[in-house]
Amino acid sequence: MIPGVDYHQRYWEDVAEGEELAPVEDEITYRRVVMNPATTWDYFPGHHDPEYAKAQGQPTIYINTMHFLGFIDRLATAWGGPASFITRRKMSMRHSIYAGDTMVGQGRVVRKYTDEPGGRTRHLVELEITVENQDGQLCVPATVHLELPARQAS
Amino acid sequence: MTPEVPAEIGLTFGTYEEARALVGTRTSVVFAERAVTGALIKYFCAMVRDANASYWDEEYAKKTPLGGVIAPPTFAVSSAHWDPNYALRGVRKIPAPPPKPAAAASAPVGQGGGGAGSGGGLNLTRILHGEQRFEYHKPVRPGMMLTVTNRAGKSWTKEGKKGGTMRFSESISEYRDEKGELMVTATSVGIVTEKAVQS
Repeated sequence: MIPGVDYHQRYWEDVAEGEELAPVEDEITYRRVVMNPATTWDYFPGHHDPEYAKAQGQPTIYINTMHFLGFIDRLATAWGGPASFITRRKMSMRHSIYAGDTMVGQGRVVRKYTDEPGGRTRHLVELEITVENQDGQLCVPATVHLELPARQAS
Repeated sequence: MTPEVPAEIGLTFGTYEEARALVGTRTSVVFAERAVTGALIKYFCAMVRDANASYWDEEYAKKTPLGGVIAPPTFAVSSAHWDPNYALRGVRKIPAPPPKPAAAASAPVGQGGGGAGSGGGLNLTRILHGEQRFEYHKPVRPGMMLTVTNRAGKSWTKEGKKGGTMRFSESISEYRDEKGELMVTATSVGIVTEKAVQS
Protein backbone atom coordinates (compact mmCIF):
# COMPACT_ATOMS: atom_id res chain seq x y z
CA MET A 1 0.00 0.00 0.00
CA ILE A 2 1.35 3.42 -0.95
CA PRO A 3 0.41 6.21 1.48
CA GLY A 4 -2.04 8.71 -0.02
CA VAL A 5 -3.13 6.34 -2.79
CA ASP A 6 -6.80 5.42 -2.95
CA TYR A 7 -7.65 1.71 -2.87
CA HIS A 8 -11.34 1.86 -1.99
CA GLN A 9 -13.42 -0.15 -4.47
CA ARG A 10 -17.12 0.10 -5.27
CA TYR A 11 -19.11 -2.78 -6.81
CA TRP A 12 -21.92 -2.44 -9.34
CA GLU A 13 -24.45 -4.25 -7.13
CA ASP A 14 -24.01 -1.64 -4.39
CA VAL A 15 -24.90 1.35 -6.59
CA ALA A 16 -28.36 2.90 -6.73
CA GLU A 17 -29.66 5.20 -9.47
CA GLY A 18 -29.90 8.74 -8.12
CA GLU A 19 -26.87 8.24 -5.86
CA GLU A 20 -24.67 11.32 -5.50
CA LEU A 21 -20.91 11.14 -5.93
CA ALA A 22 -18.70 12.69 -3.25
CA PRO A 23 -18.03 16.25 -4.47
CA VAL A 24 -14.42 17.30 -5.14
CA GLU A 25 -13.12 20.84 -4.67
CA ASP A 26 -9.80 21.98 -6.02
CA GLU A 27 -8.22 25.37 -5.51
CA ILE A 28 -6.71 26.46 -8.82
CA THR A 29 -3.72 28.65 -8.12
CA TYR A 30 -1.47 30.09 -10.85
CA ARG A 31 0.87 27.20 -10.18
CA ARG A 32 -1.88 24.64 -10.76
CA VAL A 33 -2.84 26.27 -14.07
CA VAL A 34 0.76 26.10 -15.27
CA MET A 35 1.24 22.52 -14.02
CA ASN A 36 -0.90 21.08 -16.78
CA PRO A 37 1.04 22.66 -19.66
CA ALA A 38 4.22 21.60 -17.84
CA THR A 39 2.93 18.02 -17.63
CA THR A 40 1.35 17.72 -21.07
CA TRP A 41 3.52 20.20 -23.03
CA ASP A 42 0.38 22.07 -24.07
CA TYR A 43 2.18 25.40 -24.25
CA PHE A 44 -0.70 27.39 -25.70
CA PRO A 45 0.03 30.85 -24.23
CA GLY A 46 -3.46 31.30 -22.76
CA HIS A 47 -2.52 28.63 -20.20
CA HIS A 48 0.69 30.26 -18.95
CA ASP A 49 0.94 33.89 -20.14
CA PRO A 50 -1.45 36.33 -18.40
CA GLU A 51 -0.69 39.07 -20.96
CA TYR A 52 -1.73 36.82 -23.81
CA ALA A 53 -4.89 35.76 -21.96
CA LYS A 54 -5.81 39.40 -21.29
CA ALA A 55 -5.28 40.26 -24.97
CA GLN A 56 -7.80 37.49 -25.69
CA GLY A 57 -10.32 39.29 -23.47
CA GLN A 58 -9.88 36.82 -20.61
CA PRO A 59 -9.21 38.07 -17.05
CA THR A 60 -6.08 35.92 -16.73
CA ILE A 61 -4.70 32.46 -17.60
CA TYR A 62 -7.14 29.56 -17.58
CA ILE A 63 -6.84 25.77 -17.28
CA ASN A 64 -6.66 23.68 -20.44
CA THR A 65 -9.11 21.06 -21.67
CA MET A 66 -6.97 18.15 -20.45
CA HIS A 67 -7.09 19.51 -16.90
CA PHE A 68 -10.91 19.52 -17.05
CA LEU A 69 -10.93 16.00 -18.46
CA GLY A 70 -8.50 14.73 -15.84
CA PHE A 71 -10.57 16.34 -13.08
CA ILE A 72 -13.79 14.74 -14.37
CA ASP A 73 -12.08 11.33 -14.53
CA ARG A 74 -10.71 11.78 -11.03
CA LEU A 75 -14.20 12.54 -9.67
CA ALA A 76 -15.66 9.48 -11.43
CA THR A 77 -13.00 6.92 -10.52
CA ALA A 78 -12.43 8.24 -6.97
CA TRP A 79 -16.07 7.25 -6.49
CA GLY A 80 -15.96 4.06 -8.56
CA GLY A 81 -12.61 2.84 -7.28
CA PRO A 82 -9.33 1.90 -8.97
CA ALA A 83 -10.74 -1.17 -10.76
CA SER A 84 -13.40 0.94 -12.51
CA PHE A 85 -12.86 1.89 -16.15
CA ILE A 86 -14.25 4.87 -18.07
CA THR A 87 -15.68 3.57 -21.33
CA ARG A 88 -17.18 6.81 -22.69
CA ARG A 89 -17.22 10.47 -21.83
CA LYS A 90 -18.63 13.59 -23.44
CA MET A 91 -18.15 17.15 -22.31
CA SER A 92 -18.71 20.74 -23.46
CA MET A 93 -16.76 23.86 -22.59
CA ARG A 94 -19.16 26.57 -21.34
CA HIS A 95 -16.99 28.73 -19.16
CA SER A 96 -13.34 28.81 -18.12
CA ILE A 97 -11.68 28.17 -14.78
CA TYR A 98 -9.12 30.93 -14.19
CA ALA A 99 -6.14 31.11 -11.89
CA GLY A 100 -7.55 32.06 -8.48
CA ASP A 101 -10.80 30.14 -8.99
CA THR A 102 -11.92 27.02 -7.14
CA MET A 103 -13.07 24.13 -9.28
CA VAL A 104 -16.03 22.20 -7.86
CA GLY A 105 -16.96 18.80 -9.27
CA GLN A 106 -20.27 17.08 -8.54
CA GLY A 107 -21.89 14.00 -9.96
CA ARG A 108 -24.93 11.74 -9.83
CA VAL A 109 -25.75 8.23 -11.04
CA VAL A 110 -28.48 8.61 -13.65
CA ARG A 111 -28.56 5.04 -14.99
CA LYS A 112 -27.35 1.59 -14.07
CA TYR A 113 -27.18 -0.91 -16.94
CA THR A 114 -25.33 -3.79 -18.55
CA ASP A 115 -24.31 -4.43 -22.13
CA GLU A 116 -22.56 -7.26 -23.94
CA PRO A 117 -20.10 -6.08 -26.56
CA GLY A 118 -18.51 -9.13 -28.17
CA GLY A 119 -20.34 -11.45 -25.75
CA ARG A 120 -18.67 -10.05 -22.61
CA THR A 121 -21.08 -8.64 -20.01
CA ARG A 122 -20.09 -5.19 -18.78
CA HIS A 123 -21.61 -3.69 -15.63
CA LEU A 124 -21.97 0.04 -16.20
CA VAL A 125 -23.27 3.23 -14.68
CA GLU A 126 -23.98 6.51 -16.44
CA LEU A 127 -22.87 9.54 -14.44
CA GLU A 128 -23.93 13.13 -14.93
CA ILE A 129 -21.07 15.35 -13.84
CA THR A 130 -20.77 19.11 -13.53
CA VAL A 131 -17.68 21.24 -13.03
CA GLU A 132 -18.54 24.64 -11.58
CA ASN A 133 -16.51 27.55 -10.28
CA GLN A 134 -16.74 28.94 -6.73
CA ASP A 135 -19.73 31.12 -7.77
CA GLY A 136 -21.76 28.10 -8.85
CA GLN A 137 -21.33 28.97 -12.52
CA LEU A 138 -21.43 25.89 -14.76
CA CYS A 139 -18.11 25.57 -16.59
CA VAL A 140 -18.21 22.04 -17.99
CA PRO A 141 -21.15 19.63 -18.07
CA ALA A 142 -20.11 16.04 -18.74
CA THR A 143 -21.54 12.54 -19.05
CA VAL A 144 -19.36 9.60 -18.09
CA HIS A 145 -20.04 5.89 -18.60
CA LEU A 146 -18.11 3.90 -16.02
CA GLU A 147 -17.60 0.14 -15.93
CA LEU A 148 -17.57 -1.26 -12.40
CA PRO A 149 -16.55 -4.69 -11.14
CA ALA A 150 -19.46 -6.92 -10.16
CA ARG A 151 -19.49 -9.21 -7.12
CA GLN A 152 -21.28 -11.85 -9.17
CA ALA A 153 -19.33 -12.06 -12.38
CA SER A 154 -21.80 -13.33 -14.97
CA MET B 1 -9.31 4.10 -49.99
CA THR B 2 -9.97 7.45 -48.45
CA PRO B 3 -7.90 10.36 -49.76
CA GLU B 4 -4.97 11.09 -47.52
CA VAL B 5 -3.71 14.50 -46.41
CA PRO B 6 -0.34 15.04 -44.74
CA ALA B 7 -0.62 14.70 -40.97
CA GLU B 8 1.02 18.05 -40.33
CA ILE B 9 -1.93 19.82 -41.95
CA GLY B 10 -4.18 18.36 -39.30
CA LEU B 11 -7.89 18.90 -39.49
CA THR B 12 -8.18 22.16 -37.63
CA PHE B 13 -9.88 24.18 -40.27
CA GLY B 14 -9.91 27.80 -41.32
CA THR B 15 -13.06 28.29 -43.35
CA TYR B 16 -16.14 26.17 -43.68
CA GLU B 17 -15.27 25.52 -47.31
CA GLU B 18 -11.85 24.25 -46.28
CA ALA B 19 -13.50 22.02 -43.68
CA ARG B 20 -15.96 20.70 -46.27
CA ALA B 21 -13.10 19.91 -48.60
CA LEU B 22 -11.58 17.70 -45.88
CA VAL B 23 -14.67 15.50 -45.45
CA GLY B 24 -13.73 11.92 -46.25
CA THR B 25 -10.01 12.57 -45.91
CA ARG B 26 -7.79 11.10 -43.28
CA THR B 27 -4.30 12.08 -42.23
CA SER B 28 -1.37 9.74 -42.58
CA VAL B 29 -0.68 7.76 -39.41
CA VAL B 30 1.50 9.60 -36.91
CA PHE B 31 3.78 7.25 -34.98
CA ALA B 32 4.91 7.94 -31.44
CA GLU B 33 8.49 9.02 -30.95
CA ARG B 34 8.63 7.24 -27.60
CA ALA B 35 6.64 4.87 -25.43
CA VAL B 36 4.14 5.66 -22.71
CA THR B 37 5.97 5.46 -19.37
CA GLY B 38 4.96 5.14 -15.74
CA ALA B 39 6.70 8.42 -14.94
CA LEU B 40 4.66 10.42 -17.48
CA ILE B 41 1.48 8.81 -16.15
CA LYS B 42 2.43 9.85 -12.61
CA TYR B 43 3.21 13.44 -13.68
CA PHE B 44 -0.24 13.67 -15.21
CA CYS B 45 -1.95 12.21 -12.12
CA ALA B 46 0.02 14.45 -9.76
CA MET B 47 -1.07 17.51 -11.74
CA VAL B 48 -4.75 16.63 -11.46
CA ARG B 49 -4.33 15.16 -7.93
CA ASP B 50 -5.70 11.78 -8.89
CA ALA B 51 -4.84 9.16 -6.23
CA ASN B 52 -6.33 6.18 -8.14
CA ALA B 53 -4.28 3.09 -7.19
CA SER B 54 -4.40 1.74 -10.75
CA TYR B 55 -2.21 4.64 -11.87
CA TRP B 56 0.24 4.55 -8.98
CA ASP B 57 0.67 1.06 -7.54
CA GLU B 58 2.02 -1.68 -9.83
CA GLU B 59 1.81 -4.36 -7.11
CA TYR B 60 -1.86 -3.61 -6.55
CA ALA B 61 -2.74 -3.19 -10.23
CA LYS B 62 -1.17 -6.54 -11.19
CA LYS B 63 -3.76 -8.31 -9.00
CA THR B 64 -6.81 -6.55 -10.48
CA PRO B 65 -8.57 -7.42 -13.76
CA LEU B 66 -6.63 -4.51 -15.30
CA GLY B 67 -3.48 -6.61 -14.91
CA GLY B 68 -1.05 -3.75 -14.29
CA VAL B 69 -0.70 0.01 -14.09
CA ILE B 70 -2.77 1.90 -16.67
CA ALA B 71 -2.79 5.50 -17.84
CA PRO B 72 -5.75 7.73 -16.94
CA PRO B 73 -8.17 8.10 -19.88
CA THR B 74 -7.06 11.63 -20.77
CA PHE B 75 -3.41 10.62 -21.04
CA ALA B 76 -3.70 9.52 -24.68
CA VAL B 77 -4.85 12.96 -25.83
CA SER B 78 -1.98 14.65 -24.00
CA SER B 79 -0.03 13.66 -27.06
CA ALA B 80 2.64 16.39 -27.12
CA HIS B 81 5.09 14.03 -25.46
CA TRP B 82 4.99 11.47 -28.21
CA ASP B 83 3.36 13.02 -31.29
CA PRO B 84 6.02 14.81 -33.37
CA ASN B 85 3.28 16.72 -35.24
CA TYR B 86 1.54 17.98 -32.12
CA ALA B 87 0.33 21.51 -32.85
CA LEU B 88 2.11 23.24 -30.03
CA ARG B 89 5.53 21.71 -30.65
CA GLY B 90 6.31 24.38 -33.21
CA VAL B 91 5.15 22.59 -36.36
CA ARG B 92 2.28 25.03 -36.51
CA LYS B 93 2.63 28.65 -35.49
CA ILE B 94 1.01 29.71 -32.22
CA PRO B 95 -1.46 32.43 -33.21
CA ALA B 96 -1.08 36.00 -31.99
CA PRO B 97 -3.80 37.19 -29.63
CA PRO B 98 -6.79 38.71 -31.40
CA PRO B 99 -6.59 42.49 -31.91
CA LYS B 100 -9.88 43.17 -30.11
CA PRO B 101 -10.94 41.55 -26.84
CA ALA B 102 -13.05 38.47 -27.47
CA ALA B 103 -15.96 37.39 -25.34
CA ALA B 104 -14.80 36.43 -21.88
CA ALA B 105 -17.82 34.50 -20.74
CA SER B 106 -19.97 33.51 -23.70
CA ALA B 107 -20.73 29.88 -24.31
CA PRO B 108 -19.02 27.94 -25.70
CA VAL B 109 -15.58 29.22 -24.90
CA GLY B 110 -13.45 30.39 -27.83
CA GLN B 111 -9.85 29.92 -26.84
CA GLY B 112 -8.17 27.26 -28.87
CA GLY B 113 -5.25 25.37 -27.48
CA GLY B 114 -4.85 21.72 -26.68
CA GLY B 115 -7.36 19.03 -26.08
CA ALA B 116 -8.80 16.16 -27.98
CA GLY B 117 -6.78 16.11 -31.11
CA SER B 118 -7.41 19.80 -31.63
CA GLY B 119 -4.57 21.89 -32.92
CA GLY B 120 -3.44 25.35 -32.05
CA GLY B 121 -6.11 27.03 -34.09
CA LEU B 122 -6.15 29.48 -36.93
CA ASN B 123 -8.41 32.46 -36.34
CA LEU B 124 -9.22 31.92 -32.69
CA THR B 125 -11.85 34.64 -32.50
CA ARG B 126 -13.97 32.63 -34.88
CA ILE B 127 -13.25 29.06 -33.82
CA LEU B 128 -15.05 27.69 -30.79
CA HIS B 129 -14.79 24.32 -29.15
CA GLY B 130 -18.10 22.49 -29.17
CA GLU B 131 -18.81 19.13 -27.63
CA GLN B 132 -16.02 16.61 -27.25
CA ARG B 133 -16.79 12.89 -27.13
CA PHE B 134 -14.41 10.11 -26.18
CA GLU B 135 -14.69 6.36 -26.37
CA TYR B 136 -12.19 4.28 -24.42
CA HIS B 137 -11.90 0.80 -25.90
CA LYS B 138 -8.87 -0.48 -23.97
CA PRO B 139 -6.64 1.10 -21.32
CA VAL B 140 -3.37 2.72 -22.41
CA ARG B 141 -0.42 1.11 -20.59
CA PRO B 142 3.27 1.81 -19.99
CA GLY B 143 5.37 0.54 -22.89
CA MET B 144 2.76 1.20 -25.57
CA MET B 145 3.86 2.98 -28.73
CA LEU B 146 0.76 4.91 -29.72
CA THR B 147 -0.25 6.07 -33.16
CA VAL B 148 -2.86 8.64 -34.05
CA THR B 149 -4.86 9.22 -37.22
CA ASN B 150 -7.21 12.14 -37.69
CA ARG B 151 -10.15 12.14 -40.03
CA ALA B 152 -12.92 14.60 -40.75
CA GLY B 153 -16.41 13.65 -39.59
CA LYS B 154 -19.69 15.37 -40.39
CA SER B 155 -20.12 19.07 -41.26
CA TRP B 156 -23.34 21.04 -40.78
CA THR B 157 -24.61 24.60 -40.27
CA LYS B 158 -26.96 26.33 -37.84
CA GLU B 159 -28.14 29.95 -37.50
CA GLY B 160 -26.61 31.48 -34.36
CA LYS B 161 -27.68 34.65 -32.58
CA LYS B 162 -24.36 36.41 -31.98
CA GLY B 163 -22.03 35.22 -34.67
CA GLY B 164 -24.33 34.77 -37.70
CA THR B 165 -24.30 31.37 -39.36
CA MET B 166 -22.45 28.81 -37.25
CA ARG B 167 -20.66 26.10 -39.14
CA PHE B 168 -19.95 22.86 -37.34
CA SER B 169 -17.35 20.31 -38.28
CA GLU B 170 -16.25 17.12 -36.54
CA SER B 171 -12.66 15.99 -36.26
CA ILE B 172 -12.14 12.38 -35.22
CA SER B 173 -8.84 11.15 -33.77
CA GLU B 174 -8.15 7.44 -33.47
CA TYR B 175 -5.43 6.33 -31.08
CA ARG B 176 -4.03 2.83 -31.55
CA ASP B 177 -1.33 0.74 -29.95
CA GLU B 178 1.70 -0.55 -31.85
CA LYS B 179 -0.29 -3.59 -33.03
CA GLY B 180 -2.94 -1.35 -34.55
CA GLU B 181 -5.56 -2.11 -31.91
CA LEU B 182 -7.94 0.81 -31.28
CA MET B 183 -7.50 2.31 -27.80
CA VAL B 184 -9.30 5.66 -27.91
CA THR B 185 -11.64 7.42 -30.33
CA ALA B 186 -11.88 11.18 -29.71
CA THR B 187 -14.42 13.29 -31.58
CA SER B 188 -14.17 17.04 -31.37
CA VAL B 189 -16.82 19.38 -32.76
CA GLY B 190 -15.34 22.65 -33.97
CA ILE B 191 -17.56 25.65 -34.61
CA VAL B 192 -16.68 28.50 -36.95
CA THR B 193 -18.78 31.66 -36.73
CA GLU B 194 -19.23 34.15 -39.59
CA LYS B 195 -18.24 37.10 -37.42
CA ALA B 196 -15.82 37.36 -34.51
CA VAL B 197 -17.74 36.46 -31.38
CA GLN B 198 -18.36 39.46 -29.12
CA SER B 199 -20.47 39.38 -25.99
